[in-house]
Amino acid sequence: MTLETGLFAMEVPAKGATRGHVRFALRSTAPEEVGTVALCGLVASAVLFERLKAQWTQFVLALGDAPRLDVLARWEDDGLDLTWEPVVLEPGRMDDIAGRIRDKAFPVSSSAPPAPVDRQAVKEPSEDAPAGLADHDPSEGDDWRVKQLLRIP
Amino acid sequence: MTDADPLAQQRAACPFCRIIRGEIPSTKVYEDEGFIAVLDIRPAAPGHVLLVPKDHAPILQLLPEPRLRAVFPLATRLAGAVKDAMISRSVDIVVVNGLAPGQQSPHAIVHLIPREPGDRLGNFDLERLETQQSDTIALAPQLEATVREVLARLAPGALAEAAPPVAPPEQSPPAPARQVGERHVEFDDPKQALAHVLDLNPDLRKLIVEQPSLVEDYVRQSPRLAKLFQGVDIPALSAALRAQQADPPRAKDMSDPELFAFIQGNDGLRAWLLEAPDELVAHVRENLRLSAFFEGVDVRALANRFAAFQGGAS
Repeated sequence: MTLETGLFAMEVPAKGATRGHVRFALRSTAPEEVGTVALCGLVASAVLFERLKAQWTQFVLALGDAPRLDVLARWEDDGLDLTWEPVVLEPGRMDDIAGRIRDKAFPVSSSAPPAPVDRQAVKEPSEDAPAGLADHDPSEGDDWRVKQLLRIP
Repeated sequence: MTDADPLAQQRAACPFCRIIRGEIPSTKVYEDEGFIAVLDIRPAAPGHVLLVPKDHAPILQLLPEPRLRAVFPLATRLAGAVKDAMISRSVDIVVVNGLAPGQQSPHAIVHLIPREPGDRLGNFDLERLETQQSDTIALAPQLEATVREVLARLAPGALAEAAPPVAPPEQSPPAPARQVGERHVEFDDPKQALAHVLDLNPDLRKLIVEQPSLVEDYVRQSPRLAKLFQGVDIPALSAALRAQQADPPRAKDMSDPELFAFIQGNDGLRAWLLEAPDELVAHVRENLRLSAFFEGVDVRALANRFAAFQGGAS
């Protein structure tokens, strides 16, 4: 194990999928936490790219039962095939799929997760709170940064 | 646009920028001010979505920082939407960063690929780990240091929560502490409690040294932290800790029990000593921090003593 944190355990396996492979085992799939791990992965990929003189880098973030981020340095002759043969969809299937995804993606936003209505109704911003943190109640751990800090023993 | 403006030329020809401008038809499933998401026309699986930043950047790292910070939380939320819509087992988020062979455009995109057990995308599971990567193992300290640095900025508490290193015996908390759980200790004196927390959390210590105003913000926000830092002048604490750092620990100043406890608390160092002492010796020569720490110490002899200690301990 190379680094263990509250969000992930980072490991350089003795043998990898390529000769530049770093693996992050995620502790959570909460979007903001995944985002933080992914940014750490990007930084790791930059180190691999620079130091191993890779041709490109690749991420595979698997959000299944054991969430995991694999960061790979890649070379044209590295023997790893991460391509796919495209599936052929029946006419009209794309529109059907798009409609279903649009319905589910409707509440999604890149700016912030939707806030629970009841919290907004009862919370008053604190005058003492610094700008940008005013609408967070650390006791509820809604700000993921504060939440992480609160977990210290 | 002129010949002297290659980025504008690249943007004009980029198929993803043209999709964003509506010049190429697409099946859009999501859009906001910074991103669009469209169905891949050559899908790896039904429901394969491309999340495309509206900024033209060949790799994700070149996106403006707010966009870069937003991309993976958004991808994760959209992956949830795709998983629900396709009733799939899970979704893989795949990024190709840089110009891979066959890549159509230097525009960073994120693939969201629905996955099913036994699907034809098993190669993405990366279960066959067969390539020796001694070069990357040698890079582990640099990877760790770089990731730590970024995480200290993004989520300092995550570092603070990491399994605490074992403090050398002389640095252990003094007697008045009451052990009330596996990791939880109570103190009568708040300053003693803070000292204990700082002993166990070098990254919190680092945060206080480097960003005392951020710590003050957190303390203002959190009743628990306010209690922990009660009566503490954080800028003064920061200065005091900074002064302490000027005299970092050195292996030669520690007794073997102290040094072994220190090594036990550092997974990377422990693995190096036990599994690849020769590589560690090479890195001690190259790495200033390591060479300062091991100055005057025979690393191979230390590895032998530590291996014997480990053998005895187990």
